[in-house]
Amino acid sequence: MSVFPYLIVIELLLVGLYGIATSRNTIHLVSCLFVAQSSTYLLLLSIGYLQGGTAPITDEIPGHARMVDPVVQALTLTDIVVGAAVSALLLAFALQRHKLTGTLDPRKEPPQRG
Amino acid sequence: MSGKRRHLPFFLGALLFGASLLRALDALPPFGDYRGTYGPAILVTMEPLRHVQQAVASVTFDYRGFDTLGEEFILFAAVAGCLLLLRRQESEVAQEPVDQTSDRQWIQPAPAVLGLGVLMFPFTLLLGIYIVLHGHLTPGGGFQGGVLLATAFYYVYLSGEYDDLLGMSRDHTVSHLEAGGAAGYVIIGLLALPAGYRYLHNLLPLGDKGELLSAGTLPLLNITVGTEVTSAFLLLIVAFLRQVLVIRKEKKP
Repeated sequence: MSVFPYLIVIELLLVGLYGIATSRNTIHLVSCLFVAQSSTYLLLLSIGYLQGGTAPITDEIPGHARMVDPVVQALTLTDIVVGAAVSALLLAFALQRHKLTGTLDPRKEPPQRG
Repeated sequence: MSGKRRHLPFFLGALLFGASLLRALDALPPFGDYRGTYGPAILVTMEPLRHVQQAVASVTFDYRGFDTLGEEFILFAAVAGCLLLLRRQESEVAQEPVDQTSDRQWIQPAPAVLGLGVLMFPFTLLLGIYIVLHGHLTPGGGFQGGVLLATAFYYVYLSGEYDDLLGMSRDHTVSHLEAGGAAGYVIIGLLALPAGYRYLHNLLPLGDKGELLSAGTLPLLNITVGTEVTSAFLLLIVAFLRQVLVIRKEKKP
């Protein structure tokens, strides 16, 4: 049980990578990238978790209560924001590629010229 | 190469990668047995030193405030890139959006949809503002509240028409707000420099813990981030909707 969350992290990462490697559609590929990235959220939160710990907000909780690590939670927040922004940018790329080549399949697109 | 054989290199690589990840689990402390030192240090010092009771906001905007500046500019750059990519291209024309069904004169949202939109818009707006302003007291902050605020405006589109949403972004107000939000964070940080302090040093009085006006510059930073995130998500949705509804391939004469 003590490694179960980490196993889910590895599974999510590999499932996401499998999707990226086998994807036939750029939008599907971006979704798979998001799945792979969500494994990092789980990893960060699992590392900071303390058995029986509460949220790191000191309002009206007894002084001896143990709290989970706020640093990894702040990092997860960063992770989510960056993930959303990068996904939007990738989807904009996919849209313009579709306009130019008429396909969303990353394998069918002709080689890029610089 | 056929489809299945193409995947073979991936499966080999994934097997090796997965095995090494499993091997790495040995060195991790068991789940729930947290042994870090930074977290407890922050939890002990944030109340006496910073008068903050929400540790995540304290880390984001105070202990790691400079990193959040970088994070904010990743968002800013990504949105700028999106807007740059989603402009009308030379080969395209912009048209007024047209109704795809021909048997009706104008779009009439169902009364239930309209009613729900009118009901949800002010509540979501209020909740978003609350979450931004109370970021240093309760769970939330500029990033989370900003997304909620942008959602409030999505209700306008969902229960009304595209034009209702477009009207808000037509005169660049939202763009200015986004730039203003990003610049606000930089400027609040810079204000400490002439006084001889380091960047993002907390100049304002810290106030009483738990009060709305406490924690120095932290609520101000929350507001700038909230403004930027709200405008960024609004700009994104408008840019993507423009692609679908307004921009058309130019027809050859």
